[in-house]
Amino acid sequence: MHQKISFGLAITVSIVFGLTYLIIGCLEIISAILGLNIPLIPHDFMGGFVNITTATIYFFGIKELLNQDVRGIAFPFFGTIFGLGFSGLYLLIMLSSIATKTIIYNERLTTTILLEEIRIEILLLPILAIVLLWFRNHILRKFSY
Amino acid sequence: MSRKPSRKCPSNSKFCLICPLRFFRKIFPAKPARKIVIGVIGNPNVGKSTLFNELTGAKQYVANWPGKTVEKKEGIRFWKGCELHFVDLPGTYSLSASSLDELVSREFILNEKPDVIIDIVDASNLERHLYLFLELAEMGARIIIALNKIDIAKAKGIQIDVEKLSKLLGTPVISTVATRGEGISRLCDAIVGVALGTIKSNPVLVKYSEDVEEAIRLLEEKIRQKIEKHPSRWIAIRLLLKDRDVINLVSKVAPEIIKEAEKLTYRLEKKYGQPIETIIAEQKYRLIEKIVSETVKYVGHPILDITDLIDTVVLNKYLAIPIFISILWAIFLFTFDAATFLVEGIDFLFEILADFARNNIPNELIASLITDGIIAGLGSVLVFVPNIFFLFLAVSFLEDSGYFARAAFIFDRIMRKVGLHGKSVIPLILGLGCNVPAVMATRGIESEEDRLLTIAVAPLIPCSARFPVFILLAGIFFGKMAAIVMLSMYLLGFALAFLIALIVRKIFYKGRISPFIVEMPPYSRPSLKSISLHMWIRGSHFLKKAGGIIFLMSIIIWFLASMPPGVEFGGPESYAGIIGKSLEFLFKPLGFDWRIVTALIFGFVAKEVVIDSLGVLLGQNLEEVLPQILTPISAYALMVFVLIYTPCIATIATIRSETHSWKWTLFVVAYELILAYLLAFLIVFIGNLIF
Amino acid sequence: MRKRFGWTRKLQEFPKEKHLGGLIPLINMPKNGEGIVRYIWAGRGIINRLLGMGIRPGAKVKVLENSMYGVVILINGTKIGLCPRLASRIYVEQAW
Repeated sequence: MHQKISFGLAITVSIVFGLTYLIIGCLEIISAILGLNIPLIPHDFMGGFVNITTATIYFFGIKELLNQDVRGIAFPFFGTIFGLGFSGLYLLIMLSSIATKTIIYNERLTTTILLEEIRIEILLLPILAIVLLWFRNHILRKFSY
Repeated sequence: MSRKPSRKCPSNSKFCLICPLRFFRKIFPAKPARKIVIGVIGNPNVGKSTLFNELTGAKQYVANWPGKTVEKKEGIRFWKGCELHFVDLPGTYSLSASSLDELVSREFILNEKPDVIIDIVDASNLERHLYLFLELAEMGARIIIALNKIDIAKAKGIQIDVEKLSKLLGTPVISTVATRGEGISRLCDAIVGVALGTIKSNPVLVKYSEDVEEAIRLLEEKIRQKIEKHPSRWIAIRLLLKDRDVINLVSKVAPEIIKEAEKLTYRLEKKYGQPIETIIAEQKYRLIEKIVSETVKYVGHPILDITDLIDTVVLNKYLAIPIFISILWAIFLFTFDAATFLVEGIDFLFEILADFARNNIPNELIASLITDGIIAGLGSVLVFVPNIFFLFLAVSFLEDSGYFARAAFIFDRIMRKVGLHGKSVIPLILGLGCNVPAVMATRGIESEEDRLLTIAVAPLIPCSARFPVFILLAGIFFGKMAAIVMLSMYLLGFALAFLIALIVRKIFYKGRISPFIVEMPPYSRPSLKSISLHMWIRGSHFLKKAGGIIFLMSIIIWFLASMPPGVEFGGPESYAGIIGKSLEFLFKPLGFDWRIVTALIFGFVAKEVVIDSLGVLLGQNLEEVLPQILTPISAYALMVFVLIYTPCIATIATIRSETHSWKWTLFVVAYELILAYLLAFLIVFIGNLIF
Repeated sequence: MRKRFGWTRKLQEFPKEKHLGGLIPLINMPKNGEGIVRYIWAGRGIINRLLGMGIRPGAKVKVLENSMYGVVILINGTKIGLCPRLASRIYVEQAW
């Protein structure tokens, strides 16, 4: 398959995101076991597992891309969708918690509440969305008919 | 949607209940319309449900095929003075006698002789779908082809010459896009045309090779003399194919023909060196290839598409299972955490309602009935409604997207080892949320045996209703070890499900497992409309079944707990207490006293009720009271008992409606009760020996 | 349970006359390998199911995935997943 896609860029993206998710995932698991309190990192064993899975998806792609195999692009592509899905889900949960606290229990909307509920994956959302759009426009178009 | 459509309504209005025309029609009834019966058939995944919904609007009505466990969907549409009566036939790949779905469709076509059959065909995948068409043709049906998904075909660069296809196939071909509702009116026009005879439908019959045709001719002569009801050519071909159902039919009238057919088949098989099914199918496909080559053109050349890209990752040897586990986790987060707002909201509303009722109703008895009976009962149902709907939403999304086929494929290997099917994995996982959707999800399993088996073990999976019981008991009795104890419950649930599946398979099915084949449809982004529709259908079905029964039982329980009048609510003098006390002796060896027994009886309705009842019977300070009447060993036994003993009423109702068999439902209830008792007993016995 | 449904028939004897030279079972096909189906060794119910889905002698098949989970093939434009046991019973003539 000789399609022209910028392998270099794809590999860089994979490495960056892969490492990011790996670090976040490990931190989440460690904080769940040891009970450490890190800002923006919840104590979430399963959440950490999910992030490490995402990291692994990105890393698998690097090997394929190094071999100049076009199908390698599937990994960062799916990894981004995956990460985006969870970020969206966490955002939804955050909104639901905030709504519960403010509307039902009538607490005031303060920054402390926001800080309690937020988690780091939500902050990644815009970056992931941009990367996905980039995939759509530059890579997938090359596969259309 | 399950309201029986009224004959008098002249339109497909969605607002039937408030439509003034209904009233008008009661006074001036309409002329009886010409009734046209239409069977709707097609391969699975072709968009049959979507098209059926488009054709019938809100006017559908669900029943079952008499004597079978397959669901029968019917719907009506009025078109140009005719009453179009649609019957949804099960999705099958062919019409042999190998599965219940196929037999049901065959019987309908042969015995009820519908005016028209709509065969829904996937334009992006024509070859495979025409196989069913040719089999229908041989049955002598009048067919109209609905060429669905032409939008996807166009996107794939496939161009179909519809007119030529129609000519070659001998039937009208109408292109449709069911998801957008395109082509529906042309389809209805064609239906009326074919039914009234103004449009011709003569489906092309496969011309086999000479020796096969000779064999068919020989049989046909003899058949025509004895059997008039069905097309003789079809019977001849089926006899050659050793079709069990047709053989049964013919043996009643003319058994000698069967012997003749056997001889002919043997000769053909020897000549071709292939089983007869393959010989016949090969020749059918030869015609299909010829037709397709003349009518289908590939304009674009797809190199790689999104589905393949995603599958590269999802089916990857190492990533498949972690991805699955992550998706599972996502379903549960969505079901429980994302719905908190709604759940807390409903809880809050009910509390206000209960307070209001308590303060404003003068008569104490009625106040109690309303607060402790109705509101508490309704409340316990409605409070988990958001969770259920969110669960159905998530599941509908995943199902429509196409992921479940891949999940079933990945887990088949593991499931096989315990006697289950790959497709059983989804129902079992769903059981973690609630057993009701788990039982409903077994519909995707084709083999009846596998399906019944999965239904039988699904209730062993600890559902979310049992969670509060576990957490309460684990917290009170095991302190720091609580998490591990909880985990053991979940592991035990799965382990037992697998064990029972293995045993039942060995004993009842003698170890046979059907092989696993699954079609993996292209991933699609499910439209909001379709997933909300699915969520709504399943959710309302669940509510009606479960809600109605739980509500009823709550009142009964309240009654049992409050009567005879003047008695302490839930005390030993109440009927509930009397029942509990009378059964206490059974449970003495387990260490349960009469209040626990009563709570368990109430928990029959819904497992959450166990906690409620304990609260009512023992007072609010459960942390102090429970350790006085239970030892830790008995507490663990209680947890195990709650895990296993009978499914909740909603699940029982669902099992009954899914299996249409009281026998199987009772079997499930009985074996779970016995297993629960045995295991609890074992735990207490061994526990007392060790400690 | 009734014996009607399910893989209950005794498998036909694997015909000795069948010329298997050059045919390999699907499960031995490499990933991305292509070939033509030549023979299916299975009981009636399964053969009917496979035929209806398009897996029949003469059909061109491409192996997309072949792992411990089973085999995923592309046949007639349809993507189908098969368990390893079934994949070992479908004989294919490999194309290069």
